[in-house]
Amino acid sequence: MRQTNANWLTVDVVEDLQHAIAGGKSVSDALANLKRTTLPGIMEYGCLRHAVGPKVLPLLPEAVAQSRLGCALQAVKWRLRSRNTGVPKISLKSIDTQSEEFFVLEKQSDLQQDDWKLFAARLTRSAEAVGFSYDQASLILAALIEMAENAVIHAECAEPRLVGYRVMTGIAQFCVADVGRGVLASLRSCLDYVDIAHDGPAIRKALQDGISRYGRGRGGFGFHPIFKALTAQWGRLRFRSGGGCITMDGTGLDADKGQEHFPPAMPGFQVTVTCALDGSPPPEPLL
Amino acid sequence: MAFRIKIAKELDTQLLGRLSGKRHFAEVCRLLAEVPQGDAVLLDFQGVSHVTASWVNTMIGELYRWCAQKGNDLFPLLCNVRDEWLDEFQLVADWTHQCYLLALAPEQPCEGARLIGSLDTGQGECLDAVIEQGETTGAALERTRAQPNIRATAWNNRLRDLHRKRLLRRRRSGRERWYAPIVKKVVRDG
Repeated sequence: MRQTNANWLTVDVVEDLQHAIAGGKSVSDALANLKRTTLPGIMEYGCLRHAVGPKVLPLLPEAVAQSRLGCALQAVKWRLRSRNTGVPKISLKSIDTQSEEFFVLEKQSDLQQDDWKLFAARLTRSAEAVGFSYDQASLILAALIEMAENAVIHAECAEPRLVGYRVMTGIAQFCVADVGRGVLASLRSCLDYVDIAHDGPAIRKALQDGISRYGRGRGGFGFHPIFKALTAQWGRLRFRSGGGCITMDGTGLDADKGQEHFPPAMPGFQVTVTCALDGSPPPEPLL
Repeated sequence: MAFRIKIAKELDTQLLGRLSGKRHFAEVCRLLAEVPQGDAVLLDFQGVSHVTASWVNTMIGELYRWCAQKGNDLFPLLCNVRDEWLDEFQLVADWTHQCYLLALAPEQPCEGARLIGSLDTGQGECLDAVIEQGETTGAALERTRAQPNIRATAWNNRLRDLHRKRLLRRRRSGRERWYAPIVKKVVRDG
């Protein structure tokens, strides 16, 4: 196992867990060492647990479940979550700023509900509270809404989609995860894209303007706000679907130039968007 | 006088995402239900804080198609569109081959507009000619804008395309179709 960011549940650790499970190795030792988690780490862990089953991948250790992100996740009803230790559900009817928060989307109409609007308002205000301007925070919100809509519209699965955000000084991050059919299958359901054979190229294609399973120019403008939100910021994007993963930073927002790597296959689509006000290193792991 | 819809008041101040766009499209259709055919409709973005391309595609794109339907025949104009949103409108216009007229003076929207979206050379020439002549027909353009190999049928095709794009009004008189501009002046980029 990698020792970087020791004790943190990161996306790299989730991939390592996948490799270990695929190799028939025990993951209990690796899990026992975990103390804290990143936002995409805990969300992708839930997706992996859905993929391999709760008997193969156990609950997260108590320390992770009791971390701020762990507690925030327990406050929502997500069937894929890692542990429920009885943390009381926080009442979030106000637009008070939060340092981290999750929202579960079950259907399209959830995006029109007051709870979702309050969640969106809290994200905007929370990003403003850590230094982003109203316009920057609104662009981050626009990007989140587009990704959440994508998950609800395209994932085509019974499991709800999970949306989470966290903020810290000068940094705002959100993650949208589903365990649906993934980008490749979604695009290939359109005759225009049946030739795409692998997850990586499918993600690159989907990131381009005007591309969606409805056909060329019939939708597919959702990633535009993400790129716009990041253009003037020190941002980082991560798109994982199936066995493909594309990462980009704010200096090269061209999907064709994004770095690709090949994690073990996992169902659905997981998007992580990190915006930073400057290039200084983050105080803790973000991915 | 165009029928004005204040987007921020009637719909929302943040126009984000396709689902909002779909809902807003339905709402605007309801507001336009009693507007007479042939009228201009001014979509006023005053007070709106953010617009995304997904919203433009599902709301404005669908609205233009709806306005072009025979029973509706309305002519949308946009005003108070902020410069930072223009690439969102341009992106959708490029993909959908639509054109949007952005009123130069919100209080006098029919005086002049900026065109977002592209026209081919023939269509651009035809639009300029109609704006210059006020109201015209394909046959009249063949006479007044004589060009080799461009007959009345070709002018009529261009006029019809511009009408479908909601850039020209059309009325029938006898066997002829007369076309008139929506605005007195059009500024085209590039």
